[in-house]
Amino acid sequence: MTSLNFELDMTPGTGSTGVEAPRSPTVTMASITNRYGALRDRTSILDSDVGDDHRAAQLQTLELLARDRAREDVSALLHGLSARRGLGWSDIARLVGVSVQAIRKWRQSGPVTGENRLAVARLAALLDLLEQVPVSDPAGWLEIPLIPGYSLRHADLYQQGRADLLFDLAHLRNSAEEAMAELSPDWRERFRNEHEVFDAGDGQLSIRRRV
Amino acid sequence: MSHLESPSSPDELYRYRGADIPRARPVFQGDVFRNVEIPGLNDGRGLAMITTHACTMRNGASLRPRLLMARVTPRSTRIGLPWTGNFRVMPLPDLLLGEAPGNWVATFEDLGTVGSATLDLRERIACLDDRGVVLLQQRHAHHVTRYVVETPVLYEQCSNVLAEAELLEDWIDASCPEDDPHWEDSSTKEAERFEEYFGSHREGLKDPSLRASIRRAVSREIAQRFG
Repeated sequence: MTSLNFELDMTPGTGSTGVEAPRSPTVTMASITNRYGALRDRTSILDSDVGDDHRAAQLQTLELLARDRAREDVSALLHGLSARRGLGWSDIARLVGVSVQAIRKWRQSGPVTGENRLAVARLAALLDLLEQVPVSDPAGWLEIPLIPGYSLRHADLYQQGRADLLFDLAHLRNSAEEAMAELSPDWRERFRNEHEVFDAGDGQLSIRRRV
Repeated sequence: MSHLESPSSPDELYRYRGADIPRARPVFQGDVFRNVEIPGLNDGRGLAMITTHACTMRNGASLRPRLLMARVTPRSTRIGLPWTGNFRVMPLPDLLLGEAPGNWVATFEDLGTVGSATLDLRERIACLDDRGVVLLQQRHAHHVTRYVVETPVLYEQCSNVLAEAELLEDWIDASCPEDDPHWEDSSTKEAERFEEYFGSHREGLKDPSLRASIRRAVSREIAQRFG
């Protein structure tokens, strides 16, 4: 934080030289504090307005890129999501909002509605945009939890229609705690895991109560 | 979270249903087969669901010789969403989608071990998706312990095995065409080849942040081997 750069002149005036007596230090501090307070209020409002507009712009960018990607063949889009990005079929299905069975049919050139075609393209576009942030392995990043001990993964934000929170996280514009609070004010209770996974020593993972 | 969870819709439970279940899908916890006799139940042949835990049903590329299965039966009354009570069963709404309307349940009290070699992939009528598998685990664990573990933790515990099953499915899919007359022999050999190749990646799958890179590596390997 930048320190306040001002000095208080405590030299008393003579009264005969016409030199103005210094202002009261108390008044000076109060006016500076008020000015900072007003400035802070203005920047806060500005931050909120610009933040909302920025998020809307990011979502519009995602939509435009999705419409561009939607011109590609759906089976090629799906192959790209799996082979090039490394998303699992279950995750692709979940994030697109259909079954793995439907995804499998589309991979084999089965008919796809326009809405579903756009949903696949939107997921491809999301990974493209995250890579530009840059998030070096967007599919890997989507799989990890926002906060250890809580059940929400980055992918869950997208599934819940909050790509805007995902972009803010990727750009480090908000913290994981802020993102979860914005998604659900009671996130600490709602998403907290009472149990944890540990290596059981036999090559498998096991579960125990979190201490 | 201290309550048994519920899907938001029946579709959330299933990965595949009906006639077009790929044979390449490895036999997995939650699979439902027709025409299964469960020793000890003395109720003849019928529908049955695998309840053996996903992590313990294989030894390398092979299924263990015996799997725990629960009888699946029709139920006259629908268990509405969200599920409440009915702790002794795993509800299977719309199990036979497009074939017969109605509701089925797998009953945790009607269990027995079945020889895995007797299971015929042509008799498989449903496979649960990841969400369905962890809901089954949660209900089954609650049935035997009266203790609830939240499904995201159950998923975290077995997500590496779920991911590996998906990769094996991709491998078999690419290497063994469905119309191959020797599909079963071919798929057994390819499962062993997958096991040889995949061994070094298995530990890495436990780390969610590494899963995408492992999937990419397996995809490259599949492309190199099978075009």
